[in-house]
This record gives sequence, C-alpha cells and structure tokens, in this order.
Amino acid sequence: MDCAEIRQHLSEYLDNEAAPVLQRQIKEHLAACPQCRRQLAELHELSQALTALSEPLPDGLSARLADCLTQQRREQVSPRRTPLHKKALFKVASIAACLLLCLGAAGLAFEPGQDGAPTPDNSLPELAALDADSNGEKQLAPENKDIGLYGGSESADASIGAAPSDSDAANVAEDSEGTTFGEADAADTEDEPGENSAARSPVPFILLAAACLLVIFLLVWLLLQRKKDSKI
Amino acid sequence: MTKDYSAEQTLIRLAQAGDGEAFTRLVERYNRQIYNIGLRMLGNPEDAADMTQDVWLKIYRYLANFRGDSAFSTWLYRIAVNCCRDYLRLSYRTRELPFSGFGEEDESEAVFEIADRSAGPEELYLHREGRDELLGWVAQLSPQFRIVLVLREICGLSYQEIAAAVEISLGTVKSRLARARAALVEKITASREQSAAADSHMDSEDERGRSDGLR
Ligand SMILES: [Zn+2]
Repeated sequence: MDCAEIRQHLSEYLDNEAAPVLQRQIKEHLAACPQCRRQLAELHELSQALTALSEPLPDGLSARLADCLTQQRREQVSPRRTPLHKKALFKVASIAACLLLCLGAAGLAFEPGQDGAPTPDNSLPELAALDADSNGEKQLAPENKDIGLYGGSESADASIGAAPSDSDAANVAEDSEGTTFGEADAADTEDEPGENSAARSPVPFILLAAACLLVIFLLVWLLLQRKKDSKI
Repeated sequence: MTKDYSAEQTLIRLAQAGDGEAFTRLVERYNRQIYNIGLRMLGNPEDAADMTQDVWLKIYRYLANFRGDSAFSTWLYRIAVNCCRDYLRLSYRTRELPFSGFGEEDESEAVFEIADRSAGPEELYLHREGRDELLGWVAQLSPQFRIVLVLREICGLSYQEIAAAVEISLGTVKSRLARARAALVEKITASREQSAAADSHMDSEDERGRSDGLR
C-alpha cells in the first residue's frame, strides 16, 4: 500500500477500528514512513482537542431534570392507581345494579299480575346501567383533574366497561329469574292470589339476591382480569 | 437488604420496576454525554438543556419497552440522536434552510456547510485561537458529519454504536469520520500557517522599527 491509501485509513487506525489485517499493515507502514506518522500525530492531536471540547453540565440542569422526572413520576402514578379505583367503581355499580334487580324482583313477586312481569323486568338493566354511570361519574369527577389527559378516556372506559357487564349480568339474572319465577308463578297460581303473597317466606328472594350479586361480581372480576392481561 | 447500584443491568431493571433512585443513577451516568451532543449539535446551552430534558423524559416513558435486545447505551443514544434531529429540523425550518437528517446520502455530501451568514465564518473565527477556533469549525461541519464526530470524540462511542445510534452503515461511519477529521486538520494546518506568516511579518516589522529607532 502506498502513502495515499494508508492515509485514507489512518482515522480508523487511530480508533483501533480497522480490520486486524489492515491495522497490522498500517502499523508496519508507519514504522517506515515519517510522513504518515506525522499525519497520524495530527489526527491524534485533533482527537484530543475534540475530546477536550466536552463541557461540564451547566448549574441547575440536574435539579431541573430531577424536578421534571418527579413530576412525570407523579403523573404516571395516577393511571397505575386506577385499576384499584376501577374495582371500587365496579363494586358500587354492581351493588347498585343488584339492589335494583332484587328490589324489582321482590316487587314483581309481590305483584299479583303475571302478564305485567316482562315489562318492569326489561327496564331493569337500563336502570342499573344508568345508576352505574352516574356512580361512575361521581367517583371519577374529582380524579379527573389529577389524571389530566387520561381522565377523559378513563371515565369513558369505566362507563363502557360497566354498561356491558351490568347488562350481561342483567341478562343472566333475567334468565335465572325466568326459570325461578316460572316455578314461583306456578306456585302462585296454585295459591290464592292477594294477601297470601305477603305471608310468603323471604328466603327465595334472599337467595335470588345473593345469586345476582355473585354473578355480577364474577363478571366484574373476569372483566378486570381480562383488562389486566391485555395490558401486559 | 441493600441494593447494588453498580451494575448497569441492575440499574435498568430497578428503574424499570419504578425505582427512582436507580433512574437517577442512569441519568447521572449519561447526562453529560447527552448534554454535549445537544450543545455541539444545536450550538447553544439553552437548546442543549431542553433537548437533554426531552431525551430523559422519553427514556423515562419508554424504559418499560426496553427489552435489552441491544445495549442500553445504544438504545439511549438512538433516542438522543432522534431528539437532536427533531430539534435541528425545527431550527433549519425557521431559518428556511434545507435539512435532510443524518441518513445516508450520495457521495457528494459536503463536509462543511455552505455558510449563509453575511459575516463569513472565516471572519468570525479568524481572530480566535485554539479551542474557540476549533469550536467554530466543528459548528460549521454539516450535521451528518458533526453527529458522527461528536459521538466518537466527545461521547467515545465505538463505530458499531455510532452506526446503530445514527442508523447508518459502518462504512458510512468510517468515511464520514475520516473526511471530517481530514477537513478539520486541513483547517488547523492552514490557520497555523497563516498565523505563522503573520507572526513573521510582525517580527520583520518589529525589527525594522527597532533598527529605525536605533538610527
Ligand atoms: Zn507513508
């Protein structure tokens, strides 16, 4: 290799980044060529001068970064806290839904007219969902300020999450009501309608209420679990 | 149980788990390098500080996504280079100058930018010496040469790391570094010859003055 070729590769030689064969060839050439050695010395000098251009951090930058990161950390903590918050919201929503369902069911059972049964029954899930929504808004409203950007989507998410679960639960409950009340109604028709219903044992209703609760909590739990999985 | 903050791997894992102290250690480790990338690429301490903050915010946000497929430093420098590119793009746009990033270009890319300033760079830096003079020349390097030079000489990255951070080939790293250095050496040599000539001129004037005075 001649000097011109060698000089093309002096930069990588200086950084010890040339291929081993090339690195050795250059080293051999340099031992015999003072001109190229001079070139390398100039490159080395430049490199040192450039490295010396590195400046220390300005005063206050570290503190500014620390403040900024602390703020960021605080912002990130709120979304992480929301699952717990959501759980509480779902609990409230499902309890409300259950109460409504059970009240409705009790009302239905005490009502002697069997033909009217489907109408109030159908309106129940809507009521439950409405209740859940208003609950959700009440729960999330103060939090919205802290969450900032996330707030809007969070509350929307929660209400969207709450609505299908409630109506699902309501559907399931409706089905079970259909069967249990079918029997209850059959029993009713055998009995004399009227004052008799007041004397009936409350146990079936308590059972029904417990079932409703259980079903809804299960659905909520499943929903939360699925959300947790999709996050990972 | 005390935490071991010495190993970077541990620091990263702790920081990913939300350990603020570990993240602070990571910042301390790389802060100066990132700030200096900003300083040399953007040309002023204010923008450099803003960029440094943006880089750390990005790293903080995306640290959970860092899987360790590449070295942490490579990942971090790539974020810094991208951030720097965004700042430069904005700065070029406000000055209504074209900016094409740091990517691969044709062979004819110029090492030095064509100065648009009315006062030529030579005039600006002629009377300066040493460090200031060198800073002036580095500032005039085209961004795609400057970034490679800064990552090598100031941050001490390997060619492989530079290639990954700037997203260019290893060959491009080699040739850009070689060309940037050769251009800077040329400037330094020319400047030295100029000042040597000026000095000898001054010397001869002095001598003439002295001999005049003696007469
Ligand atoms: Zn030679």
